[in-house]
Amino acid sequence: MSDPVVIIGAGAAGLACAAELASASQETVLIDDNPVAGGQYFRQLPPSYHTTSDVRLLRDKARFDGLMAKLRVPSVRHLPSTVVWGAPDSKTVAYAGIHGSGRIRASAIVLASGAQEKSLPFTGWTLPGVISAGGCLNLAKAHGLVPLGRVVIVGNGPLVLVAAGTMIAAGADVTAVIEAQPDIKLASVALNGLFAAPGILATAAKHRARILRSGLRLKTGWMICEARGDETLREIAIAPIGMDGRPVLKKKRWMQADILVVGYGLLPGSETARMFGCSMEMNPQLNGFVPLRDAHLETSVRDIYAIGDGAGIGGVEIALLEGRIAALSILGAPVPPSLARRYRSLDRYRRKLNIAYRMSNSLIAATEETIVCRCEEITLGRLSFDPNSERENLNALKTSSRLGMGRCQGRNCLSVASSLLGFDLQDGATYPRARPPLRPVRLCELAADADAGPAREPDEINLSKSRETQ
Amino acid sequence: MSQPRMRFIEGVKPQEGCVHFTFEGKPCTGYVGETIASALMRAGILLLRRTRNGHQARGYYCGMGICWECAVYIEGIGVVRSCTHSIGDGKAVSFADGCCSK
Repeated sequence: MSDPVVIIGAGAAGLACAAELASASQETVLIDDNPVAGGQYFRQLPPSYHTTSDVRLLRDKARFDGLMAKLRVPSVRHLPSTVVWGAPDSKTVAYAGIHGSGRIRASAIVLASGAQEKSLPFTGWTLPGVISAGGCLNLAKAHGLVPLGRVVIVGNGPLVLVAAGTMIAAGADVTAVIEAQPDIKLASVALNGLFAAPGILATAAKHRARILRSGLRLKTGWMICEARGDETLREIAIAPIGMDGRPVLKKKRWMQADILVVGYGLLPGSETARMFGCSMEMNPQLNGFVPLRDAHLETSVRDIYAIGDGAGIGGVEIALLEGRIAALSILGAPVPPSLARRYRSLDRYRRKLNIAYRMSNSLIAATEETIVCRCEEITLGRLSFDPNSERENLNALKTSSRLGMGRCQGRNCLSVASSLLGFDLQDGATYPRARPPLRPVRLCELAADADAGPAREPDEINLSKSRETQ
Repeated sequence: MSQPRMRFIEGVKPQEGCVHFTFEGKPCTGYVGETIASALMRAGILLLRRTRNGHQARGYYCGMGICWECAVYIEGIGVVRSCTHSIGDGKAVSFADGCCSK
């Protein structure tokens, strides 16, 4: 193998994969959108910051430092603040960022692009002061910040408890935690069993106790329905969840809030896999649209592997194991039986958990005037009246309404828009294609691409095949 | 100056010495390595951007580089995500979409 292995994403999965490849002295290029490696779980403070030993950041620094130490070898090249924006062919990545732009021919490509949050649009969710659960965790972990004023946390799933526990530990005035799941015990099990790392398991297990002890309101079976404020958040409305998954507005209650944290679950970020033309499936056990993989975690495209939350929601432990398994497969080395066993058992567990956490009805808080596409400012009402909504064609709806055409490129809105409009996206046939440029790239970066050549779209092959069969 | 909306967690110590920049013409300060969003929110500024069509207020939302709601324009650099971009000394930062009047 003379060409390097290219890993896209330096989160838990990508770092574990790079560390394993580094120990075999395999040439590796690790490309990451963030200025500092670590992804979301291992998010760290700016290197110029110091912390006292008693700081309560819950960031699992020891394990992160252990992984990073293994990467300080000449065979590993880390490109931070760099995006992969194109796939000229199934062996080449086109990248752009602060260290320049160009193309890398790879012997194998590992997709480790992680998860993104599932949006739950409600009127007022665009107000400054409304932040996602991941954004809330990063306030503490990446910025060392804690909000001043009243913090309310709403959502569904382990992230709610982690966010609440982290905010309370950081010293925030958390006045209420609103969990959609009627059974809080399930939420606690999830937190302890899967998403917490062994190193901080004890701390994580204390999240629930901390929430209960802090005397704040913990409501289960309720959800957010509206937020109000003049330019920034001032108050929010919550309501019990009806049989149809919508808030029961008769029982709506308003409360004051300066910061609202919203976390209704995670989705695999699959656009990179789609751009490379990997065959995809909708898999509820993995929480969304994911690339098909074999036992070696190789996708339908030869020498392209997919690992971590981007290939199915499972949290940090699964991501770390998948990183090692993919690296061993690339190296042609056997996977030690103990590692395989541990992976099988965690994989079974996360599949059960993802199913257990599904609400019987998907939650809907949006009304006609609610903005669904934040970038292009498109309301649910406008989408419902678009003729392409009746045709249940998400791609056509994108073209006619500009849904998903802003800077986030549909990551926030496409999935939730299709569910709000009642589209059946089981086969993903009308899901807009993941086309280059996959991420916003500055023209000067593209212009600096010394290896510029034709930008063929790999998934064209699949498309032309499916057209022939129609 | 508006009320601070965020503060540093006890035990988090940025490197001593300030970095100066402006946001929409107003002088602001931050620390070496601090992101633009962090410095602005500590100064009480949650409104980081206005939308092109409705001039609606937007701010820090996803915190992980996906949503671009915190986008700001830095003179000489262009549009960046303020949640991951650290402050440069003397930089003029403004709304990303070139709209400051409502």
